Amino acid sequence: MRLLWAVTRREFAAYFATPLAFVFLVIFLFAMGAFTFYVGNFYENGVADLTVFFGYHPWLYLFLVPALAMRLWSEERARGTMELLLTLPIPLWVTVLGKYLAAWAFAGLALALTFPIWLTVNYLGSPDNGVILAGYVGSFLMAGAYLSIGAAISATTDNQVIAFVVSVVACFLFTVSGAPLVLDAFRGWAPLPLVEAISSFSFLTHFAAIAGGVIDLRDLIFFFSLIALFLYANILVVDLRKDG
Amino acid sequence: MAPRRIRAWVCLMLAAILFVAVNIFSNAVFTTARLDLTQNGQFTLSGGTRAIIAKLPEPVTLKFFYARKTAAAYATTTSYAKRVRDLLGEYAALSTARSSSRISIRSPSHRRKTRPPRWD
Repeated sequence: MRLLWAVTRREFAAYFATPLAFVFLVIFLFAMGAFTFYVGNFYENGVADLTVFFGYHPWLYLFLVPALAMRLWSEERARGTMELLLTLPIPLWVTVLGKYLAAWAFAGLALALTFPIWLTVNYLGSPDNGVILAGYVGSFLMAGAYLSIGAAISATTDNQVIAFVVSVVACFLFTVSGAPLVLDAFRGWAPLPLVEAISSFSFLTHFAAIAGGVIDLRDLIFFFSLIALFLYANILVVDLRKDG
Repeated sequence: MAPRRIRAWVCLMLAAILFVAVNIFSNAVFTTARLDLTQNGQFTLSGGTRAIIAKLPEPVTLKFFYARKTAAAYATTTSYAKRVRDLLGEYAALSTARSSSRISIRSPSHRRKTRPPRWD
């Protein structure tokens, strides 16, 4: 646990060693505000809740979170620091988990910095703060799921652009897996339970269920099992690369 | 392909199968484990509903019509159907102690036996 904390802390601090953290935070907050107030017509809706704000999260994460995840392993490989990292007396799973937790904490920090919108909506009316809290929990979990996918893909290549593009596509498929766009590819030949299972992997429906104010154990299991799956894939890929 | 690579692929496949299995299992089992954070408990059965269910004088059959095959392509509909089914399940679970209300789920393939009500 001490090692995990050390890796996580080191990785988290690394974000602030370069302008990356500030550029990401500014763009993230600007995009959140722009989509909520201008695209989502927050004021014109006349309702004191954050439905519009959370409604754009899956689509903004689709591009912003892979941008955060693409450097996790690709950068280490491109710079040649991967060998050094993997020869340190730290178990591989600690390194993978530490890097991931640091990125997730950073995404959480970015999300937490959107608190002025919560203050705004409380100033304007009397929103259901329980629903808003659930929305933040769901959004944080969804960011974690996107990050785990991005981290696993980042480990497969030393080119950050490739990591970003492939991550966006993979995340998009998970986001819309409940839509005919994806399901039509399976409906003709796959058995119904499999189609239903793929449909149930949609980030949109799980996030919408939590953002509605109910934290269902099934949604939590979905997000945590998905994160675990991709972190395991990440460990496997790094382990394979370690030996060439 | 090197044996290590094959082993990694097999492990990954097994992990993916485990992921699917865990989620299918949780969807079937944890139908009432949830934390309702809404101010008015919108997604929690009220005391009045519980009292009515507890005092049911005779068995009640609730029929849930759901075109599973058609709805499979629309996650929002599937998710909504899941919520309705969970709610009916909660009614049934509450009633088991004192009354004998029962839920029977019919799909349109059974329509020769049981037709959904007509809305005239």
